[in-house]
Amino acid sequence: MRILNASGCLDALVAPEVARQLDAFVTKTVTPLPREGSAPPRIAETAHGMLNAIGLANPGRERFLADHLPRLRELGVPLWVSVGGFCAADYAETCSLLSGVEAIELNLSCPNVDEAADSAAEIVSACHQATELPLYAKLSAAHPDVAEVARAVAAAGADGLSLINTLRGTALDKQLRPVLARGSGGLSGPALKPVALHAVTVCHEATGLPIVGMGGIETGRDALEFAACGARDAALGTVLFADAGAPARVRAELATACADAGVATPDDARGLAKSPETERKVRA
Amino acid sequence: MPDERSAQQRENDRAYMRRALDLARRGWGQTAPNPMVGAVVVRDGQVLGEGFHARYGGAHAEVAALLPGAEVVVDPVLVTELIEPGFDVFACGPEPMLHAVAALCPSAQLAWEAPMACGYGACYGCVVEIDGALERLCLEGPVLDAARVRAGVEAVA
Repeated sequence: MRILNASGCLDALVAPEVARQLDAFVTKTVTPLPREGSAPPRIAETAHGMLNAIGLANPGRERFLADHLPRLRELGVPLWVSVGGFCAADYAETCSLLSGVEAIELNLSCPNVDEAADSAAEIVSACHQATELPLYAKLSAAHPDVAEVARAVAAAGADGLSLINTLRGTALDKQLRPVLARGSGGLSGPALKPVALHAVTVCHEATGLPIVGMGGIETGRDALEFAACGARDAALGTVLFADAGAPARVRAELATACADAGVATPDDARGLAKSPETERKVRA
Repeated sequence: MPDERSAQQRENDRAYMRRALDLARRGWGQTAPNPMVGAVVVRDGQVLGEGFHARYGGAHAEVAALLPGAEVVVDPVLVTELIEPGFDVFACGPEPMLHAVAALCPSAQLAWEAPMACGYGACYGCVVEIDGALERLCLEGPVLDAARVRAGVEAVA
C-alpha cells in the first residue's frame, strides 16, 4: 500500500522533507488560468474535522508547467498532477500538456468552485483521448450513488479512482454567521472516515479499479481499514497539518496493524470488509 | 506628543515598566507555554490597575490589571503617545489594535494572526493580503512591516 498525500494538503516546494516521505506526491489542483482563491477566513475547526474553502488557489497551467513542475521533479518523488477545470476541454488540454509524471488525478469534485458543466464521464473520456498517462478520477461521496459515477468513469476510460473528496459543510461563529468568508467549505478529517470507507467499498465492488483511499486517515490502522474496503493505496490529508511526520509514521504503523489483524500485507486485507449481506448477494 | 513628555514623566514611565516586570515575575514557573506577563495601567499619573498572568489558562495580565475596574477603557492612542522617535515599534494583539498601530506608526513591525491549520505552508488557510496579493501568513510572516498588510477589518477610529 503506497502512501500519498491528498491533493491540496501539502506544498512539496516549501516542505520537501514531508514530500520525500511519500511514495508519490499529488500536486494541488492545477486549473487553466491562475486563481487567487477564496477570500479569508478560509478554514474553520469543527468537531472531529475542519472546513476549508481555499477555492483552488493555484498559479495556473502555464506557470505550473514552466516553473513549478521542473522544481517538483528535482525532489525525486514520483509526481501525480491534480487537474481541474470548468469544462471537459479545460481538463483535456491540461492533460495533453503533461508528460513525465506518474499519473494524473482529475479533480471532478472540488466543493469550493461551481461544478464543471460537463459530467464526470465526459471529462474522463476527453482526457482519455488527450493523454496516455494513467487517469485517476477523484469523486465526491456527496453524489447519491457514487458507485454509479464510478462505473461511468470506468467505462469512460479511468484507470483508477481517488476516494473521497471533502464534503460540503458550514460552521457558524458566535454571532451565528458563517465562519468562512465563502459561507461553506469542504469538511475533512476523521469525521469523514466512515463515509469514505463506504464509498471505497461500493466503488471497489462496482469497478474493481485501483483505488486511492482517503478521508480521515490518521494511523496505520486507518489505512489498513481502507485496504480492507478495497483501496490499493492511501492518501493523507488533514493529518499532515497536525503531524508533518505522518507519512513515515503511518507506513510504520501499517506493518503493526497488519500483524494485529492477522494479515501479511495490506493487499491481503483487500476485500475482507465485505458485509455478510454482500456475501449473500455475491453467492446468490 | 513624545517631545512634550517631561523628564519626570519619562522617569515615571520607566518606574511603571519596572513595576510591570516585577509583577510578571510572580508568574514564574506557572505560565508555560505562555510567557510571563505583567501589566500596569496608568492614566494621567494615576495607576488604574495592576495585574499579571498568574498561570496558564488563567486571565492574561492586561485583563487582570483592569479587573475589577473593567469599565475603564484604555484609549490605544495613549499607548502610542509613549513612542519616542528613534525607537523600533513592535506590536501583537487584536487586529483592530494592530491597524491603529499601523496608522500611527507605519514603520512598525506587527505580528498578525490568522487561523492556521498547519503553520508550514501546506494548507493555504492563513492567507492575508500582503503587498496586494493573498499570501500565506505562515510563510511570509507572521511578523510583517505594517505597510505591507491589508487585512479584513477596518482600523478603529
